[in-house]
Amino acid sequence: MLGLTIREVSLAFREGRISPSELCRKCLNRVKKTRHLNAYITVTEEQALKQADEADDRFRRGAPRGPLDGIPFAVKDNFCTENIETTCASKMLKGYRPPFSATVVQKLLDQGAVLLGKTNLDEFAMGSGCTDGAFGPVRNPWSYASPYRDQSGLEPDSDWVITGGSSGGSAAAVASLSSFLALGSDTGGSTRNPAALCGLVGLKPTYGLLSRHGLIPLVNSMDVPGIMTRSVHDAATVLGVLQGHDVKDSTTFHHPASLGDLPDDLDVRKLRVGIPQEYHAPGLSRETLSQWSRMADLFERAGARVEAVSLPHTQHSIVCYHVLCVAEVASNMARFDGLEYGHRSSVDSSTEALYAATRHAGFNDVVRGRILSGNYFLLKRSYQHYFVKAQQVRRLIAEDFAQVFSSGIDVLLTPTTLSDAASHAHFMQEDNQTRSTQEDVFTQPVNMAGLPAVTMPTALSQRGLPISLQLIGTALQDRKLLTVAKWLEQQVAFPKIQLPWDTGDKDKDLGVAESL
Amino acid sequence: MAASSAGMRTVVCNFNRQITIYHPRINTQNAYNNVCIRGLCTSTPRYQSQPQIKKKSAVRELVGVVGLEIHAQIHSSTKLFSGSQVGFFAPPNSQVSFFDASLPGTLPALNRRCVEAAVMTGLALDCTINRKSLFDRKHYFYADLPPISTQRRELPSLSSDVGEPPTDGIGADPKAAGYQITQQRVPIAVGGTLRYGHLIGRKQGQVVAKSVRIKQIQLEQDSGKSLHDDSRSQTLIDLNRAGVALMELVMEPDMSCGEEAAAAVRELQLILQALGTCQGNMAEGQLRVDANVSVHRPGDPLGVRTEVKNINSARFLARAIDYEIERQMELLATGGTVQNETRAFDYKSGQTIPMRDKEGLQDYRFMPEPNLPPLIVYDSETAPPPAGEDPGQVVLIDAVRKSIPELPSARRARLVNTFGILPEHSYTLVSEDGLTDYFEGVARETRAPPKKAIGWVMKDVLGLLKQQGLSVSQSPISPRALAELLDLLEAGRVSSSAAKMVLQELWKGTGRSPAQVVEDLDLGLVDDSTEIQRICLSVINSHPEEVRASRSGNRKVVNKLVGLVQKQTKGRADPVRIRAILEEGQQGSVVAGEPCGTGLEQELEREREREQELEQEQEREQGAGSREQEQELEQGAGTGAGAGSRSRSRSREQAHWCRGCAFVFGGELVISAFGEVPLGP
Repeated sequence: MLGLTIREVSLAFREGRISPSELCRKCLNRVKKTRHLNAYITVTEEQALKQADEADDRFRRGAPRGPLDGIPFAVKDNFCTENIETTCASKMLKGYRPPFSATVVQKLLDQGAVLLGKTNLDEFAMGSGCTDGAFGPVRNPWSYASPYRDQSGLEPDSDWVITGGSSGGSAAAVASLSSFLALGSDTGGSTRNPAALCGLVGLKPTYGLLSRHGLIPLVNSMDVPGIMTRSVHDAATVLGVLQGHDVKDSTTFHHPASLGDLPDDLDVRKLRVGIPQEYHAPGLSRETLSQWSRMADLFERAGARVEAVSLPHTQHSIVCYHVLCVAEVASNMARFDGLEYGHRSSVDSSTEALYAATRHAGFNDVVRGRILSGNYFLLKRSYQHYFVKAQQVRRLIAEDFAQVFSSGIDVLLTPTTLSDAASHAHFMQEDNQTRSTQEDVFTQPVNMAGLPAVTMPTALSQRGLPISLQLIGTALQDRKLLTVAKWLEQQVAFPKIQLPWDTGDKDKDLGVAESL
Repeated sequence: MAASSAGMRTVVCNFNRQITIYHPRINTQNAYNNVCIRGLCTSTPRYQSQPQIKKKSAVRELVGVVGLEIHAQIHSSTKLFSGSQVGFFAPPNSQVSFFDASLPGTLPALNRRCVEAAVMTGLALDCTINRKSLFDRKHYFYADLPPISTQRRELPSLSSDVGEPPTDGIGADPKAAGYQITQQRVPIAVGGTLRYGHLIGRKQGQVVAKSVRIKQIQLEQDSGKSLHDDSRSQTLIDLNRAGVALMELVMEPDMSCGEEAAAAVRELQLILQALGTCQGNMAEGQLRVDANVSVHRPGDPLGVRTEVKNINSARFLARAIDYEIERQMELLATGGTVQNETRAFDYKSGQTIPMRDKEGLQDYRFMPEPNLPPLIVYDSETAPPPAGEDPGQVVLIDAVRKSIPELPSARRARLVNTFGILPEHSYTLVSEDGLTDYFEGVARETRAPPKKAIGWVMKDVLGLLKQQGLSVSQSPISPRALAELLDLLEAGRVSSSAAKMVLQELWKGTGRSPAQVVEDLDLGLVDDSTEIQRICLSVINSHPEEVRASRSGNRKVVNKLVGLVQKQTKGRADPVRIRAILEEGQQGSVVAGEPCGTGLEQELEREREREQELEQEQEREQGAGSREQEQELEQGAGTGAGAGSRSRSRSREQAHWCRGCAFVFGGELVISAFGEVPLGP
């Protein structure tokens, strides 16, 4: 039951095979059993059970609110949740309970979805491994699945692999089957990267399609709420619920196209798939490359026109992304001084000393480093050299994409990450900055251009870990993008995760067919 | 106002000679008076043509250069980017939204009303409205104190060493986010002109048209307020003001002295108030003026400038600027150099003092505000909004332009053209809230000529209002009642002096009509010709010296005789008639009971005209007096007793002046009854 998709669970609710509160308890049990993954920072058990009871009532009365009613979900801990601790995995915000909920969270709650808890991340979403948060690293559930255990022959506790990041907690929650849906945030790949390493569908919608109100910002001009699910259809369902104008976010579009159900009858022969040659980057693993080729062939065999395209400014993207990122970080972090909420130092010799001590203790090295370099780039004497240049390159990157799409390309097919998930020990050999530069290479150009992109797993690596590819679409063509993704999903038949904790659950499922 | 070159020179010279009269309260120890003379005159090319100036030392050739940066709080019910209410007197931290407190995850949402206000203000100042403008973040490093939640209003255990001058306990302006959203790169409006009248000359009776260029108008957030409590080592923060919409108006350095700057600010105040885009009260901080001041020799590049802050009235603005110009001139004269610094005006000493300057060292680290897309405004004719735009979310320049009300300059021109009043009178009418409507009400209702009505409105009614600290709307005498009184006067039913007694009576607000008051107090004109002639004759007979002087052509003596007659009639006789009788009597042709002949009627007509001219002259002086009084009141706001005593002493001066001038201006003012009404304590 826990491994089903949202569509399947919703059907089970309607048919009375299971109630939202029964499912909620199963999920909470799973959360407890998988605590060592460190996916959740806060578990909202009491509230979840209460919400699930209310959903029970609605189903009993035959009046569920929609496709998400009663569906357990998890939220990255950088989305504000009313009166529920929201930490950004930072000491700075430890104990902070926002007085309001993020628009996207509220929309899910309004649909009757059941909030299980807040998930772990890199501090303030700065990272690509989910290894740099104040509450410790998150373990990839695939470390415990049989293919990986069989291959490595090692005890998973000694050689676990990372989830990727920064939304690693959200990815681990969905992959370990404690949640059916999780919200991440995606600034340079923070939703797609962990989704890819954890074998999930990870959607980064067009910038402006979803409200950022209540998402504690990393880079306002690139942040988007991301959606992690187990199927493309589910991602489309959630996107349909979340998208739309929000008066509290002036950058949201007014009239996004309705999503509806994704069509099943995509005519692949009319499709033009672009393969950006610049994504054949140094460090790309042999296995990922071969998956990329395999999928390109698959499109071609199905009749699509697959062609090499060029996005010439791609190589400059990551460095410009870095400049723009840290500049906005420096600005956005200025409000955290410890006086109103969260951490406050006991140093009180002067206000300046209080600030300094508070911010030194409240932020980790990564955050402090980005604030420092960001302020440097924004200095009057640096601004033209760095910030303005980076913005100019950003426009060139967006124009690269625009040019390719205007030439008739429907979607771009690229890798999401260089390889499958690294072991924690290996990943930690390099610092956060180096890893982010490596890991975000395929994902952040999309954020620079504000385009929609979706990652989906296509196969397991020899190590038994997911390998995923990314599809990139035109701005506001999220539905078209998901339609193609759904077709690809049907072709690849990626295996479900088999976890050691599943056996017990199966017994308790009382004959509910897994084949729904 | 058009003035010939020669006339102007006279005006300027008069102004110089008169300067000490205009600024009797100025701190003379810093040789202030000389400053203004130099500042103003050397900047006026006509004056430079005067030979004696060319001989002056190099220092004397320096002129002041003044530019202003004005922050005008937009009059709107909610803040620039949040739905919090705006209100000056609300309890601390009662008008703070999550956004205003900079809670993480909150985003700005632009208030359309504020955009319209900025567009309207820009149009009124002949600016070009940028169809697309941008928002930026301006960062502050430190001491711009951080947010305090509504629960935690007090910061315990903070030392007072928070890095800002503890002037009056007012500390830094907290910007809770660490930055202010403003329009640094592309503001909403650029390139306008503020035209204003600089009142100069004897009793400020001359209007000189001036203008200052507006560089730009930008929308931005106001900051919160912080207060240091040194005794308890606490800092208190009030975020009610945080996020209130401001228009920052940046003016080019086109002015040369404090009075010009003050005149420009007063005109701006009136324009904003007429538009309703800002309430313009400087004491409440709705209009905040920073002055950039430098000195240089004409033709040379501009000198190093200082920025003068902490100015909360137009009067102080003038004094702060002139002090600063003088300070810089003296500094240069003694071989010093002007530092680029921020100085605060200390209104107690009348000096500017250096602020501990972080502004100069600050790097604001501007960057585009990523949460606000470009602000686009449309125009139905030339740039209509795209189809599908929500009409409720669109600002149309042409629609805003159509809704601009009559501006002060147009209103003055209309008053001058319609009613034939003097331009400087139109300034007083327009400057005083509600006075134009009051005057127009009177002028509409009465048969008396507007030129007569203006004197009563500006001198008598406004004088009484000022004396009691009332606004025009609080006047106990309605325009209709005053009009009725003027009708009685015009119809010859009361003398002008009796009319003033009626006015005093009406002021008490008993609800009686002027006609009733005249009847009740028996103030009707003495119409008994025999009686008047008897009194006139007795006066003539008892004053042979004066009669002789008068016969030899001394008109002033006639006035004295008129006054003596009036004393006996208790001011109830028509002075024109008395004068006629007296003059005839002197010629020895007074015949009891003889009706007025044609010659006499012509004389009467001439007399009335003279009377009106004299009255206008008086009003002009009075007008200047009431302007000064107005400034006093503006300054004294908040210290009621002080303001009151100042205005009383001012009134005493006026009363004194009236008596002193009585013989100059004819019988009208000598008037025993009115002259004895105690105006002072």
